[in-house]
Amino acid sequence: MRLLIRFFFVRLFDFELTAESRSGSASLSGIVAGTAGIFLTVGAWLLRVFTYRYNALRETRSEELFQAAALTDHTFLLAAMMWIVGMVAVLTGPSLFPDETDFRVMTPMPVKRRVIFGAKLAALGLFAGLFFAFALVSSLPLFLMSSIGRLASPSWAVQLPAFLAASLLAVLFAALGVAAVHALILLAVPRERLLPISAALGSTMLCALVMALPFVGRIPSIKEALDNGATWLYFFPPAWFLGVERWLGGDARFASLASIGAGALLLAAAIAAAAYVALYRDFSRVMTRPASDQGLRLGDASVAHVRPSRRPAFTAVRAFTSATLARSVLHQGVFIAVFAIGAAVVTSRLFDLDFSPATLSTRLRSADTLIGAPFALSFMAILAARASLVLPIEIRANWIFRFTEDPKHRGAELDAAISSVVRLGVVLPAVLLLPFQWAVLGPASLVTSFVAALCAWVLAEALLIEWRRIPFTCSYTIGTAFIPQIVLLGLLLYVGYSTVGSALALGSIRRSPVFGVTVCIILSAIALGIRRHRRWCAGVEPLQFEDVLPTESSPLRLTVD
Amino acid sequence: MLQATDLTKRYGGLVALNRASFEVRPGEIVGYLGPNGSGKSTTVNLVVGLLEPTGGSLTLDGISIIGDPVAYKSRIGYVPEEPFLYTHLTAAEYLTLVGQLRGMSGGVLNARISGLLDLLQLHDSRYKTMRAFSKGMRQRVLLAAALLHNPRLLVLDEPFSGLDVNAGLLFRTLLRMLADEGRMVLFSTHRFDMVEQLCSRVVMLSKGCVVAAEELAAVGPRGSGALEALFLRATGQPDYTPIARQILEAISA
Repeated sequence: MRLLIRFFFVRLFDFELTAESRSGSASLSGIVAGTAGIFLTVGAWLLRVFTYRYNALRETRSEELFQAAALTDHTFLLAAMMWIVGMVAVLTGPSLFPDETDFRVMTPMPVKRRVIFGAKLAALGLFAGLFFAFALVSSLPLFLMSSIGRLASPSWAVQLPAFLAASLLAVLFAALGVAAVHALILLAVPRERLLPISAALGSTMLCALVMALPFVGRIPSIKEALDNGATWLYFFPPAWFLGVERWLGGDARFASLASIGAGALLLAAAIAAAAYVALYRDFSRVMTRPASDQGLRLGDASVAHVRPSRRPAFTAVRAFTSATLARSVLHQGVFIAVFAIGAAVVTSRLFDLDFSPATLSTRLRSADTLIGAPFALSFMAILAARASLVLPIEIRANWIFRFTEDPKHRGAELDAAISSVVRLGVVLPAVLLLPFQWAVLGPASLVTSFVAALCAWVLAEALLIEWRRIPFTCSYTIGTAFIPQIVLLGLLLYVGYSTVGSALALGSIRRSPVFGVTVCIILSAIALGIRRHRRWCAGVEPLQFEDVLPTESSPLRLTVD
Repeated sequence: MLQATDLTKRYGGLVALNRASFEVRPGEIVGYLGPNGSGKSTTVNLVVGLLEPTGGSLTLDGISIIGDPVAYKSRIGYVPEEPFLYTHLTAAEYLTLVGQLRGMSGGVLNARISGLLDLLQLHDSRYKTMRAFSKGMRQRVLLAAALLHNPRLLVLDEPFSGLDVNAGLLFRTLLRMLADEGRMVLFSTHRFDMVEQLCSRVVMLSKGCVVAAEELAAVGPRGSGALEALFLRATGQPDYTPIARQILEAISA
């Protein structure tokens, strides 16, 4: 049993991000150490913020202000813990229940089904508990900061057990909520559709969680909302568990919120438990149910309806890229996670905008924000698409691309890769943001969107100038770059890109049309120039199928020569 | 004709293949036999152009793999030993990918894919991704991919592993018919029975060197054990009876 628990526990840390998996224990200890480091760093930074905040509040000597701030901050802490555990549950989504691999590997062994399920549950409990513990340890000093002192009510001795209980219930709800959604999919969806639907669902939840991140730090005043009877509290899960905390602390005003939290937790637990029981009783039937012919119709590409093409190699690589992004959990997840960061930044900005007919100054402020938005989104979208295309899929199947490599077709194959980045990183952000821009700028939004798209095209071409890979076919080595250096370069690039791009887009509508046309011509010329250079290189340089380590090491120079 | 002359492959100090010379003539099925680690897979990878030779030459119908690798490889169909496929694709999608990478498109490619899926009994599974396929089904997809562009030389690495009885029979019949049409077939295998049933000639390899290259007819009557005896003699394999006995004793102890 302990062996199985360990096996399932270690496997939960294997996100299959590497081309060649490291040993389980190395991966495990690395991730645990990294996670603990992140929690402690963020916790220490927040402690500094909280210290300033509550020292200032204590100086006001106002109980009302202090307690209102504490209410909001406790909601923030609960939301942060729920976010962390929810994110972990989403990332490990496919492993939340014993799957087909477990069935095929474990069932023939002399191990009782009860032991398999018990070990899986225990491993999941340990896993979620580990992250909960990290989050709780990081947040306890923050909680105490907002609960100790004569301005706090009730006393910290009453609040602490209530907070611990509410935190536990909140993270249980987050984990069980994700598990319940996966359970419903697992039991209801035909086997051949399970993977794409599960992938799409995981990506959607991941996207929603990443996009929710900026709002965790922007929770409005709970006291005000409670006094005004705001309805949003009843649709905001962290508020439910704040209700639990306060109700346990003796405040009857929060009883209705607490009861919603309890009900939601019970519902999620019931669905997850029912799914576990159903799976336990019918493990063989669920795992071996036949795949029907009608199950997966993937459109024209799945049957032999190949259209005539002047560049078949381009069509081949483009279709391969689209199919992989649509069906691979890992690649879709990486794209969505990185893209969602950009989307979160933009959504957070849009949240503050006033789209109603307003004064000229309001409109101009909105216009500036909206003109800058496509640059933030396209920057992250291009990085997201590139990151996704770099990761391999079934690396040993790439022999077919090596076997059929032809210098005449190389340019077309690389063009297909770039076109995927352009579609996801240039066209998608432009299309997503055009309605918002139209609402404020009207027809001028067409000009700014076009200029923003051209800037994004230049960025995509520039970032891929040395691209020699067919997507997903090259091995991937983690840790070839110095992360702080990459982050710094990325930030500088982002600042330069968004500043220059926004200025060009703004200039295109505020200056003469000649300026706009000139900008468009210059940007197109730059993009086409880079593309031409890449195509020339493709004619003479072979495709890359093995990731290469940096050729030069950077000496630390710790001694004086 | 496929002509390998003094074919050599070194990995640093390790010589995986040492001056191997053999040929496959039009209409021939040549079996490539050797124990594990003898250089069989290296030879196959060199012949299909997945590895570059350290020395020697390889030509197919007079086209050198070094001089014109694209023309050389366009005449080859290859079925690897392990069915390494993009299993998130359907069989039709995979065949479309391979066909398009080989410069095919439109009606010709459609017709070939549909025909091959039908004939290789994969039509019923056309909407399923290959993740759910058995090893035999994956081998059939690889065979279809290898035949898609009508190659002159078919190179197969252990093609019968994982195939069910029907698919095995189909494979054998197909290989014979391809040879009857004047195409060349080179297949690497561990199975003497397959070599005896199918091949006209056999090349044996040991420790990276070609140790025997014989017409099957000259080896001895089929099914007589002559091929196995030649293999044991040429490759210097020991008598395994004492080892088998020791294993039995070990598990009974």
